[in-house]
Amino acid sequence: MDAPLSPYRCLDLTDWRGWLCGKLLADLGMDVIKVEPPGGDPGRRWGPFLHDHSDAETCLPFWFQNRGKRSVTLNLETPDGQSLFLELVAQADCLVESCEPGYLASLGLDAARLEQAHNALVHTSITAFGSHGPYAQLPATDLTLQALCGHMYLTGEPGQPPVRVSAPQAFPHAAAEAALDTTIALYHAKRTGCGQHVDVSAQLVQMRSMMNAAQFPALEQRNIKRQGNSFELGEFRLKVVYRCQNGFITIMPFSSATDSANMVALRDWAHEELGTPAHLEGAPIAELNLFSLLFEPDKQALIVALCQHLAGLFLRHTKEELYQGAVARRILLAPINTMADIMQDRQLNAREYFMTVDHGPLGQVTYPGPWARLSATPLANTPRAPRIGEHSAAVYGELLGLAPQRQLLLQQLHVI
Amino acid sequence: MRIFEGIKVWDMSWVGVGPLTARYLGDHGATVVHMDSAMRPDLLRMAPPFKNGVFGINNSMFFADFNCSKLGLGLNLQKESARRVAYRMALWADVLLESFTPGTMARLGLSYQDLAQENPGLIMLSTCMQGQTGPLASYPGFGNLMAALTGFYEITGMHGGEPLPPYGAYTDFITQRYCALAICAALDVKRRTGKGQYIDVSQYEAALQNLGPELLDCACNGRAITRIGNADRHSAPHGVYPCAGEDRWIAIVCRDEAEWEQLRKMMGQPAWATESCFATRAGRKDHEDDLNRHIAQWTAGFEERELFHMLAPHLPVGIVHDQSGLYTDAQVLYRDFFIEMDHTVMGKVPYTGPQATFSRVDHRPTKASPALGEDSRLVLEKFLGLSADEIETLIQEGAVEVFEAS
Repeated sequence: MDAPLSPYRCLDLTDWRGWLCGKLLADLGMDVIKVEPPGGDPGRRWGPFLHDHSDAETCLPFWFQNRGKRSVTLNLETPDGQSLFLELVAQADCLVESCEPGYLASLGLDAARLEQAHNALVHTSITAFGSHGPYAQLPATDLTLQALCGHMYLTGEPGQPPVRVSAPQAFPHAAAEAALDTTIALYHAKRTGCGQHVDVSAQLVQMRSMMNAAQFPALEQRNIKRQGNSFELGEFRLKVVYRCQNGFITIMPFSSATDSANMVALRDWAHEELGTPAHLEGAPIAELNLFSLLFEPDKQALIVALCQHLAGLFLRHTKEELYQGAVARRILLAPINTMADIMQDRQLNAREYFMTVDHGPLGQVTYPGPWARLSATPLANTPRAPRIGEHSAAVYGELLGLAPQRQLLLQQLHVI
Repeated sequence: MRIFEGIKVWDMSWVGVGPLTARYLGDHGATVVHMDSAMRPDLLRMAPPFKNGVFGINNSMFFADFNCSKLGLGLNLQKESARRVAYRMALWADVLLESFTPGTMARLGLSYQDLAQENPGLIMLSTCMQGQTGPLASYPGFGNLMAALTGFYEITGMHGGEPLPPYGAYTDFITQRYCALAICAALDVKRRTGKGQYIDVSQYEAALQNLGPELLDCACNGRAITRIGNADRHSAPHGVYPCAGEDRWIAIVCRDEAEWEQLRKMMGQPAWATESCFATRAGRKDHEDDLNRHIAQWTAGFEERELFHMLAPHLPVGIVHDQSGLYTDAQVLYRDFFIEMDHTVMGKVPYTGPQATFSRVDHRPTKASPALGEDSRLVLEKFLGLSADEIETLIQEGAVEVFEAS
């Protein structure tokens, strides 16, 4: 069974911002050819590295986000390089890139020229703000994008500065959106023969992470605020992050709009281990649900009292014990996992999520695996990320028919 | 002309991931019918923002924004006749989405195996917290719990402080793209071969794609990264600084010496900035607290927009937008992101628009979201060919719910 998009070829001109896009298309079976400048993608020089040994061939973000691709080197800033690029474009179904807006056009590789090379080409740009508009030329990083998308304002403690997620998020979101949009545009191109330009804005992509927040000013004439480690229920806030013996856990304060099984089961668990304090004796815990917590002040006070009591239960256990107990009792509770916890996760391992990828002399490396399980056309189990120019000879020879001597000459001229 | 015109989608999902996945298809022109019931209301219908702050099942923008470009069919699956309607919709559809607890669809007589016998072209996607198989398959949850499991709480917060939730059901807004990607790839397979298939997406597994490099670092080097506030591991300044006014902030980053030099220039070359401890990136990183205090003193004298316009051409900066700020952001306005559409109950309200533009096709939302049961009659008549009498019987039985304007 072939992976779903195995008939197609993608030319991948992305830097670190867009790497993940081509990786996802390779997972879907595309032949993804990464085009790197001679000497390699500069992003290969940023860590973390395997065993913290800094080397262009041991960059771990590169490994994860370029898995399954082939690599060719090509100097786009030479006329010969540009012609070779257009020949590659003619052999591809889609082009994904994350160049600064205007860069390709400055090389003469503008939309018209690309269309001339391949009139059904899907060309996807991944940029901070989109290819046009007042911010198009502005520099941006993950931090400034997490700020400008509105999500960061809502994350952090009240009275403290807003805080971002401490790992890059804006471009991974945008690269996944780009993979999706490329696939949609390709569906269209294959049906109609009509290619097009897809222009992804990381700022707008991450605005989706705001969930329901963006429309508060328009609907309720107000801005909502950061809530620290609390869950917001209208005007009411409930602390949902609690310390346990070896870390932290978090709880959901309700099961559904009208169901309170979650809090009832937590009360029962606490009762078994700690007994029930007088002020909670006979309290109507079964009436705690989304609806009552939104609108009834006495229920809000009750859940605060209950959670203070539960904090004692949580402190008695490890996060593993609490999670296990929660699963058995169908309580909505989750451990605050570290990366190391995730690698040991029972469910992920039962589903054989983590996979081993062969890095030859560098050994076998564990990777996060399939993000979807398709019954008829499963995702490809792709090989490791390519070394710099690892597939130049194959691609230039077999795909473009360049004779070995010609390839050697182009190498000497620093074109490939 | 829209890309998925003619594609039929039966959206039995609720809350975040499934409805947003189906919205992508609807925005691209697919006919999407979303299932809804007042007997089992979608949580989002009960959650704000509400039009004018007034609670109401048809007043939630939270629900509306995730369910525009869809028709609404009110269906109470407690009733046998409603389950028959759901079954017939699955035979009508090219794509079926559901986000019930694993096993529920089979109990409703809607397992993929059964449906595929009658509709071999069907693409059915199930999305839940932890996947359809494995010991925790049926453990319920929400995206905010999943953000804890996937490590996002652990890596959010101040250095040395407690872990914090990133706002919202964070992993929902990763997973929806992966669900849509899997469906669109499967649609291409169907276009080529006529065959459908079953897709199982675990929110846990999809969301970890955003943390691949961090997981590899853990697997290879035994390093489990944790929260470091707004700092970067190498660069400084790299932070969020206060501006004039209440709770106003700006993010400022200097990636290299040139950008640091630009910032110093904009600050008017203050004496502190020439101290030798700040002369190199490593030095600034080592003295980051001092550096940040100095910069904060400077930024506090400006409004965030003033600073943004001053600095943005030279180095990466970003206003920490509150929600109002999004509506006046020059780039958001340029992309025409918020789109007003007329909702039957709420009237004109702004929906979020496309995150990417397509040069040759439209994929802005096609219509406002439905009030609960708004299109029930139309869907049953047009797509299932039921007669007016049959439809009235279903309504009388309480199997089908319809919207009545009050």
